[in-house]
Amino acid sequence: MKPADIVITGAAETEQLGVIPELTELDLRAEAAHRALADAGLTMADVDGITCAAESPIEMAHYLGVTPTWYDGTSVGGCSFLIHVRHAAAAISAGLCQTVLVLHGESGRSRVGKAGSFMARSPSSSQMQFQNLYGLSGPPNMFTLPVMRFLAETGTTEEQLASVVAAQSAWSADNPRAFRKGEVTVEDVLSSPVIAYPFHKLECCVVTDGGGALVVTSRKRAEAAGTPKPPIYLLGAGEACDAPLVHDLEDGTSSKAFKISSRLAFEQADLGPGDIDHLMIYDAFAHLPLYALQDLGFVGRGEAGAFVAEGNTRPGGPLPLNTNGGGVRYTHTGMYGMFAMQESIRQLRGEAFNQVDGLEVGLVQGVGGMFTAASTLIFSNRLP
Amino acid sequence: MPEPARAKPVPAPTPTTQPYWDGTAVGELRIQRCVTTGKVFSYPRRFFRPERPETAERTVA
Repeated sequence: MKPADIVITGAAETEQLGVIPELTELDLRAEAAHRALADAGLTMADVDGITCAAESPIEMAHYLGVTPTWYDGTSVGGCSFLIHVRHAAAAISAGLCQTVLVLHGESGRSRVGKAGSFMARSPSSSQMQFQNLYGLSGPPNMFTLPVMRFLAETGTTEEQLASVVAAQSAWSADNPRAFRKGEVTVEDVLSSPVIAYPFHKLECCVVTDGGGALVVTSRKRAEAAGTPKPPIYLLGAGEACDAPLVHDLEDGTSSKAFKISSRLAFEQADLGPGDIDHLMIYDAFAHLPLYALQDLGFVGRGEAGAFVAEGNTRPGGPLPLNTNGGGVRYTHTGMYGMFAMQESIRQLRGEAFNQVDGLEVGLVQGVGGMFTAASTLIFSNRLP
Repeated sequence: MPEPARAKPVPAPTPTTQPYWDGTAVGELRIQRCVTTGKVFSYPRRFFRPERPETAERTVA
């Protein structure tokens, strides 16, 4: 795949986000699928590829009444959907399929019709034998292990960590689709209850229901058929991985997977951090944007906390970051990556709720598990 | 509303990890060492190096 060979022609979230007890996970994916196809000016008859995580893509295809000749069920946590876009791009480039629906729907809050979780393990799994028995029960107290070392070694303060949430809340303050409304200050964040030190409640993502879908196809096909909206070009993509158990990470203060996946995406796009106008970084917790700012090369090691605290990523700042409010403010169904891509595409199309003017190139950095998986995508609204 | 407390997870040994857990029962930490590089590693693995599966030997550290 060469830069801009592959395009996104349809993108949509479910009509509702937040608390949707009347829809199952299959329903959420199907609603998002139909909305994304309508956005692309296509119908289900055009679809010959399907992806989703947690659930089998075959179950999803049967629900939708299509018989895809290519499917991918890579399920490695919240960045799975970014990886699906990369895999779809490769498959389309190889001629295995032409029009792929990348689907996500998750009843994270209402837990209606839930598929299995990638984190659900049997008592004989490595995770349950060698990690969870020591009291690690979920993401908040798994992620604290590397974060404590990050704060100590980089000199990042708790106030700087909290400033990630304050900055993002400024983006989503008036967005009616944001699960947490309004703007919060660093003091508000630090006075919210401690969930697992150093994470306060407002530094942990929300837990919601919702879905989203993308239509991925070749630029050649999109240009031949015509599209209702200008296509969004995929310039670069990367994926990488690290240890499955959090204590086995090579370095808790930096993500090996972030570094590798972003290097692959930058190399493919022939771009660097200085070329990125808009940034989405998967923020299940407040520390992840700080890691990615450093590991992707936007700032030097130990500089991310001050960079955010000084307002560089807030509305009006030079590097707009997580402009939907992110997982800590906007929505987080359990696997957030689809929503980060949706906001990147909205911004590049000029459709965002808090639109930033003049954007041309956006980057989405996803994470899966506790730094276990990562994927990076670079999108643009212009040809390179 | 607080969620009810979860039951404490109890590991279920496999044939591969049974020697490790047998060690814990007698107060010993038994971890493996790669006979090629000498490096210790954890969690227990039966096949550590694909070209020489027998290179994982059990040691008592």
